[in-house]
Amino acid sequence: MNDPETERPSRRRFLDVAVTSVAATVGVAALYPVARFLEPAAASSESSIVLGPEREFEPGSARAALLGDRPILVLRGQDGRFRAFVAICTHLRCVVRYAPEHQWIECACHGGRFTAEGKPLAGPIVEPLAELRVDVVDGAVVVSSA
Amino acid sequence: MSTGMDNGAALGPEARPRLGRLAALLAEQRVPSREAGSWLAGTALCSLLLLGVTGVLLLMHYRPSPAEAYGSLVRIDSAVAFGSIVRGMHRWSADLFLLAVGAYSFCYLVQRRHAGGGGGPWVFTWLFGLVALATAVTGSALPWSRAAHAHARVAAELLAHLPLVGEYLRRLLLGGDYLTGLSLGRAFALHVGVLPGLLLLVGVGYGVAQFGRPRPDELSSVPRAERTIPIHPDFLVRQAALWSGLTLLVVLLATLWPRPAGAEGDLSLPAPVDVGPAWYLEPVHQLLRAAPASMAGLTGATVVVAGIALAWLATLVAPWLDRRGGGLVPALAWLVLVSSVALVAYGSL
Repeated sequence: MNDPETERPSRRRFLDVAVTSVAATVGVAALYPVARFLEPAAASSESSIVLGPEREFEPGSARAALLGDRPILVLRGQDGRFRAFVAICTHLRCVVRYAPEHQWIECACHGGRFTAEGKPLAGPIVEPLAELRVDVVDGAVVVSSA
Repeated sequence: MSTGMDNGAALGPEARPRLGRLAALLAEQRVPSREAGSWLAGTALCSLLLLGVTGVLLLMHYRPSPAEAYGSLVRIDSAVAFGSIVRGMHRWSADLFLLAVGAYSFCYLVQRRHAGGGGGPWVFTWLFGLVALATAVTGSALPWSRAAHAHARVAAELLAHLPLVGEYLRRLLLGGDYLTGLSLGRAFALHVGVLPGLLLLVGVGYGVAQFGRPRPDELSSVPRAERTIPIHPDFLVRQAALWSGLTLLVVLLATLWPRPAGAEGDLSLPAPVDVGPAWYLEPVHQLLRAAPASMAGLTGATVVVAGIALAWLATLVAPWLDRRGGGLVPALAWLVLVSSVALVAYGSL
């Protein structure tokens, strides 16, 4: 016959383990929907933007805009050709600017520089800027995801 | 029939008013007379109280929506009575808070208070510093100015470089892949709700972990009466003087050097040319600027973030490994301090 005095600690230990396990399981189970709830919903699906008449873009100038949630930079070269980039530095995602005096694209945050073609030029960057498609449709400049 | 007064008369000292009894009780309790920790903890608590009070006041005028946040801040500065001072006090006391928490942590390690079972309180000290930093970073997004946009983007991207959870944390903070109005809502919720709650929890955890531990001064050979002071009145008077002085200092700083909101934000516009990090992120900023674009097949930013994360984790773990209180932990604390100061000095050259 078992002695209840010797049995008690193991029963208590069992209860401790059981309560802790149930509490931990409930805790983790409750965290899951919270973590999922905090995940962003589907992003803006906007894939193109009309920026205005072509004649408003001087050669050698640039314009900043938003394509959905993405900041973009549209350049018009001296030759009249358009280029557009996602204006997010590939280093730490600051928004870049066009420096017309140097004809390069630069990031004020950590000194990264890109050529006007979006290629790495100087500073702590490796990847080029993501390029977007530019069309002139009925005299209007349209930028769209490539 | 006996009355309360009868009882009081019978018990003698307990007939004193309740506050008097409390004072007598506190006069019996003694704390170390010379301890940097109590001054620094007092500074941190005082600045935390100032942050709480000014934060609640700011909430009465601040509007956490992308269209109105910056405008509401400008109104606080220009149209609300004492608005500029209240906002300045919030900013200056945040600086003071971080400085005090950092200095407290440094003293904790340098004085080897982790030795003999102080690893538990140290974990809470470390966590407190981490949550304090997160509170400051989320707060820096709230003005929704151009500089605030750059700060929020960089902070989120630094998180993204952490292994495993980095990308999830970035999307959690931004509310998507890019900085949007949703990011402001999340920064606001974290800054005024989640993180202050965590600070409170971690603070309570520290108190619980510290409870019953011998204080470092108890190992001293100096007689107890000489190395300690009673809580009432000596300690309380010293703390009251400290808190009054600090409050006055913060009011003066906010009046003489207000903290302007900067240029209005526009999510499509680039980071301002003169954008710079807050002082507490300056060492990280300098490392990021100085690191080569790529190292050993990894981007420079990845190496820098991994290095900082490892150094930060080392300060958490080292006190556990060095329970005898050897020279390793103080050396690590000095290394972190000296390298941070050197990086700031390098950046200002």
